[in-house]
Amino acid sequence: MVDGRRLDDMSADIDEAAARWHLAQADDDMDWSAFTEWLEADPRHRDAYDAMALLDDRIDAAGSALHPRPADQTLGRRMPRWGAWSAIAAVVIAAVVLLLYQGRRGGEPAVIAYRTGPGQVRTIHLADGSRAILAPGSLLRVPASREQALTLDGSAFFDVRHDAGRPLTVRAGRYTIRDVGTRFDIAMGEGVVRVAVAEGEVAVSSPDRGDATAVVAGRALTIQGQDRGVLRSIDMGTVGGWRSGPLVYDDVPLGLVVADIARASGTAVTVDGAVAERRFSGVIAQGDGRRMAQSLAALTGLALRVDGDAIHLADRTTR
Amino acid sequence: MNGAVAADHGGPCPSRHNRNEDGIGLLPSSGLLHVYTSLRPELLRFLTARLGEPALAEDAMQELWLRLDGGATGPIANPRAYLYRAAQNVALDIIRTRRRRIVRDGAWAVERGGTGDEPVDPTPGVDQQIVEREETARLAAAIAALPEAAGRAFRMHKFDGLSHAEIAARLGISRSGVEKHIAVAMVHLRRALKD
Repeated sequence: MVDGRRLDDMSADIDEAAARWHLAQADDDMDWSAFTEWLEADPRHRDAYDAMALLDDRIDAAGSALHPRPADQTLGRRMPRWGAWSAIAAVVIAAVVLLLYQGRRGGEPAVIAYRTGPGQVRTIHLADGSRAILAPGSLLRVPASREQALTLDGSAFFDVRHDAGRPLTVRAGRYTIRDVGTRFDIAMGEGVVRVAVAEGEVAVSSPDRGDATAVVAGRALTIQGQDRGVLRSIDMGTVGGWRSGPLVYDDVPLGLVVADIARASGTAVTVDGAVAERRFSGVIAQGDGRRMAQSLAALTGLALRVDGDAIHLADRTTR
Repeated sequence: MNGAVAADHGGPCPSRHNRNEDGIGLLPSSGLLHVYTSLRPELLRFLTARLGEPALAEDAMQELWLRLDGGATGPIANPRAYLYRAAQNVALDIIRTRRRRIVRDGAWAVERGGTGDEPVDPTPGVDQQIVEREETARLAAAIAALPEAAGRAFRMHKFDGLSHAEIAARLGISRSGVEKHIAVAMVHLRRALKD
């Protein structure tokens, strides 16, 4: 980490140490006590660390303006990096004009499709500096123009740069989610869509309902079919929580939980329709599909049936 | 099931922390707040070191408590790491807000508040957009001018989204070597932007 060596007074060394502490936070074995001691050792350490964290914000906020190749087509698995994740997109405004030019550049595809495999999480830098973090087993189609809606099949966390003039629109199944600068999560599964908002506000609409439903920070909307949907309070910290570590649920329909497990593990996991709407609160460690399904069965008291590679969960009484 | 509990929503949470062989860690919110209380001294010390002002650190502790208490917190597997990361995020938010106020310097009169109030004119001034565009261009130029090894590791990490371990495997170097490269790249970028 800092090699345990004594830091001399050279600011280059301090900057490098600051950068290394910042990078170390990506790991679960981050030594927070040692970091505290490093900060205490010299007030310049704090300034250097702030500068590194803010620089990292700027790089993330500038996103694809720094990286104009049309989508990094390398399938990269992104390890959770808490510091940056939880970040409110920095106020640095990515070069809007520059991006407009890029949009007109010839040869750029009109829509880029990003796909993740089982267990894979992927960060997608959108042209305006917003980011989408795609959950395992999901597909996101990104049109070159922000005027057009993104299309999501699966789950994703969005960290949208504030641009009130041009809201970002995401289609998830039959629902449309519009927002102007927020952080929110969309999860789909078994005919259910859940939109949870950590910051800002989004509007959710569908063809069968005239008016849009507003979902503000700290609330989640769960809708199914032609239902008006249910709005309830949530812990904002759990929004996008799947990006790092275990899947955390608080009063979420089992249908969505099972869909998450299926996507995360690549295993066909289904739940009986009769219990798909039943609410679940608890934690499931990410792992192979069978183990995750077993955990869910244990926590809910449902019976688990393995049929070849497929796993089905149902009420004990129905089977 | 060996102490595994599915917490009923709205019901009282058991305050035990269970971890069984299925890898299910359960720490209901009351448990998290309990851990907060027991870790309070070291968290306060961390935030004081992080923010440089004891009064600011106390504010941050208050904010941290509110965030933890602000809803039905889901069970957490590693509460100490969770609390430190949450504290780090509170500190970063405070630092960003402070920095933003300095940077904006009135150019952006109304901030989007948490109350849902829409700013009258949320777009930054044209001057500010030009400044920021220039800064982004400088950042892009600085990235292009990075030393080769450092630049490659940096791009793989930031642009291709690879973890340190994945980069290490691809480049055939140690993970610590990867972190060294990326750190060197960050130092270069900071220099370039400071000039």
